Amino acid sequence: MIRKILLSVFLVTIAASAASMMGLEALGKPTEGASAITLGRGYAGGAKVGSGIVDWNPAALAFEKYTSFNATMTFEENVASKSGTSYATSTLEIPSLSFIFAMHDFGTLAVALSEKYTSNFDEEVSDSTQTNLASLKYKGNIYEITPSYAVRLPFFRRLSLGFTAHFVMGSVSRKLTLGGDNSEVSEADSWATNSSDITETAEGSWEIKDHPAYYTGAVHYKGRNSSYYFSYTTAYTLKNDLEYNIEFSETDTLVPTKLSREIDVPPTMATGFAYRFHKKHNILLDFMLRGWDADIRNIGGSWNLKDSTDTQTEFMAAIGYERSGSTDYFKNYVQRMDFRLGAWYRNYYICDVTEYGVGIGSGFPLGRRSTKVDIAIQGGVRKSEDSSIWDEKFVGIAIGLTGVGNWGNKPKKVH
Amino acid sequence: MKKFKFLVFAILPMLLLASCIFDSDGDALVTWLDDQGFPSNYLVQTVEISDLELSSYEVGFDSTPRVNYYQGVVGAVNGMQHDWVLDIGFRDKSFFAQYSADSSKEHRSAFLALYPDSGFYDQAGYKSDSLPIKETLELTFSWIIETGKGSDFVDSIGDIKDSIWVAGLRESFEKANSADTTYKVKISSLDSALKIDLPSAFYEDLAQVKEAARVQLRISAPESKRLYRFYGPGADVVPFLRVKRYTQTVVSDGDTTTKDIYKNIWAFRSAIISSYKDECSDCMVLHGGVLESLLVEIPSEKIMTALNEFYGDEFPYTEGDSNDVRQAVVLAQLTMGRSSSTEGSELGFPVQVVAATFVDSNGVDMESSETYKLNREYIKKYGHPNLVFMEGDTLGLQLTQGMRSFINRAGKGAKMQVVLRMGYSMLAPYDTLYYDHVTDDGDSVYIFMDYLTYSRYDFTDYISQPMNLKLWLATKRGDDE
Repeated sequence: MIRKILLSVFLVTIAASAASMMGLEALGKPTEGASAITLGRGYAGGAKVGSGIVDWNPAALAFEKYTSFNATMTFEENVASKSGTSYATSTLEIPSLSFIFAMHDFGTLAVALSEKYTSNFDEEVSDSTQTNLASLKYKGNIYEITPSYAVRLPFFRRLSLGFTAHFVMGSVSRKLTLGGDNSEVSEADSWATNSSDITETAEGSWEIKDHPAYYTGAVHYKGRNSSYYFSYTTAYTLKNDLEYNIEFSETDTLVPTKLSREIDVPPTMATGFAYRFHKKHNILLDFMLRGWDADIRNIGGSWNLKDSTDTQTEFMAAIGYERSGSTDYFKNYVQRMDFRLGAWYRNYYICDVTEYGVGIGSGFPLGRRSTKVDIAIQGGVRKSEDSSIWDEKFVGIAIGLTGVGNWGNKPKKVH
Repeated sequence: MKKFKFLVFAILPMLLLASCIFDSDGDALVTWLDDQGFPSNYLVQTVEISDLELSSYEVGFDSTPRVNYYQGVVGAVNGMQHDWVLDIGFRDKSFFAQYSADSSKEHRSAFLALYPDSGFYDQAGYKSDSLPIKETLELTFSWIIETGKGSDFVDSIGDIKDSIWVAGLRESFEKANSADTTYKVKISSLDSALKIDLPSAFYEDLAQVKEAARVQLRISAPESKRLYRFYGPGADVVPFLRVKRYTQTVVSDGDTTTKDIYKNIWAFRSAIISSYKDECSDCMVLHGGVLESLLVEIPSEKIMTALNEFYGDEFPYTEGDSNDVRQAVVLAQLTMGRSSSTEGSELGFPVQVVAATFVDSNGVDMESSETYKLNREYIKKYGHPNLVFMEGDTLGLQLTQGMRSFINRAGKGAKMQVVLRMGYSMLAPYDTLYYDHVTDDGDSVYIFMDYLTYSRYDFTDYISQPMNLKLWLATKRGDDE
């Protein structure tokens, strides 16, 4: 069984090589560090407690009852197309890993590793008539380590406050390997370019300029049936120190030139609402807004590539539904499962790019404790008015594992 | 749990299948790359700079003797004299007692056995009809004999590092004893040794030794007509001293017979000392086989101006850290005039002119040999462009790595310097494979000789003449620039 699962994962990994082909020159595709739980309800559910870490609502963590661990893996198949031509790519990623330490009256501590942007692309063309070789490889991720603390207020127990510090890290690279084009060289001189592929590289790392981190503060109200939250995330400047080079082989390179690009990320506001009815049914609404006002300088530029990516006001509106499964081990298995459904509409940070999609998901309890495997399938489209950005259709699957520990918990009551 | 299994095994294969169904062909990627503004291959353009005159050129000769374990050379050729020094250390108390005894005085003799390097002569094409090699050589032997005691003394000689030994070799021979002698060379077979009698002054000096000695023996033939190659101490047949120990007299049945008893002493290392024989201060001459090089500088301004005119951008690039990665040199070739004469080639073969340039290695200029890319059409017609001593009037030298590094760092004041040296003899100058191979007819083709050639090429008439520099450049610039 284990071997079969490993084999399946391995096969998926072989197929994986690229994510979305949008924004590769800028920050990449935004992933929001979403877990399989969040993806199953279409990015909605920030206001529903007990969902693990939701990036824009750390305050909900104050109501967590268990110490838990969550890891999510996503596989996405993506087809970019323009006027009849299409190109399919796929990717395998780990967008989030998190630990939650519930300390009850003392609040909740959590730490997560979450992927905010990804730009992974590794494709190669070998000889069609005009192309000797072209291999393009983008490899980039912006990850954050996010320690959070949330606590319920002493007298207004329905109200909680949460804070997250986001420590940014990650790297990015673009490598373009090309063969020679001798169209402007006389035939007698073309011998000089035999087997001389050149790789143009841009490589660098990410950090926040002038500050160790940026921060999110949130306030959450948990009513009997209705819950709300509001959060604010500070603006920050992403700094990307880059080295540009031209390589003939790994050891035959030029002296690189160094440049730094700075990207001003505006503050983010998020709010959400969750309504619970008939004990286990939940309607979820979320809205996130980030008003970009400056263009993003591109990683490499050169040739006829644009030097910068235009931005727009980024937002996400999500609506979702969840039927929470019973925690009673002696109930029917289907009754113990979670069912999720959701849809979202969003504007990317990239000008004119919109995305809408739907997600469905389930949580499968394993064993007596609340250990769970969550599976979500999401699909949708990304569209753009810009002719250089191809429209994309995507379908993805996310698998998450939530492990629940005993640490810090009171002994369970026997029914 | 079963449902979970079902889901895992139903969904994953479906996705895998989906990834196969969504067809993606290379053309779509090319279209996408094009839409982004990526090229599908890099544009190569050539820039030619003619009438280029070098800003400086200078010959440098490192006269430090060179250790060579496998081959020794003696003689003079192409304006240089090459002496061979053998380093010998040994300890034999009883030998020295017998050898030094007064009674042995009249019997003393010693000779040096040297084996012709048959591997070299084979490759150089000495057929049996060019044998015997005959010549009357005026030889000069110089020697330094150091004496000592115990095995420690002999060990200490072996402990002297090669580089330390050769560094002081010229100086130590300045005060050495020497004697001239005449030797009639006759090499009829490449397999037999030359037996050269050593001068009496040498073996009388050796008679002063009591227990152990270090003998450094230098052999010079300044007036020789050719350069002789012998196997060195590291070869299968090694040079050795053969010293008569004593003469044994045996009386048997009334007949008295005498028999000479010899001691063979092997050299453990050897070095070659090369010196100019005819100095020419105005000449730009490069000798092969020795540590001699011609350092030339190509004027930076000419290259920068040509690039500026070609691209319309500022050269040198001084923005930011001044490292220019806007384009890269795919190939650079400098062509200059050359003589077609074979005089100075020593063995009659064309000889390669080797170019080395300076490239950046972590902030430090490192001299590095240039790679060589084959222009097969040209080679078939004219032979390799980097050869001298053959038909033709053009010497083509590839300077790709150096030019690449120079343009990359020109903003920081890098210079375009080239080091030229004489290389090996080329045995197959028109062969377009640059390695030893067997032809379809079953013939073996050796591209280069395995042995150094002591050639002499005179650049004087060509080095100050205008040259031509051609650059093949790949650019990152777009169409609109």
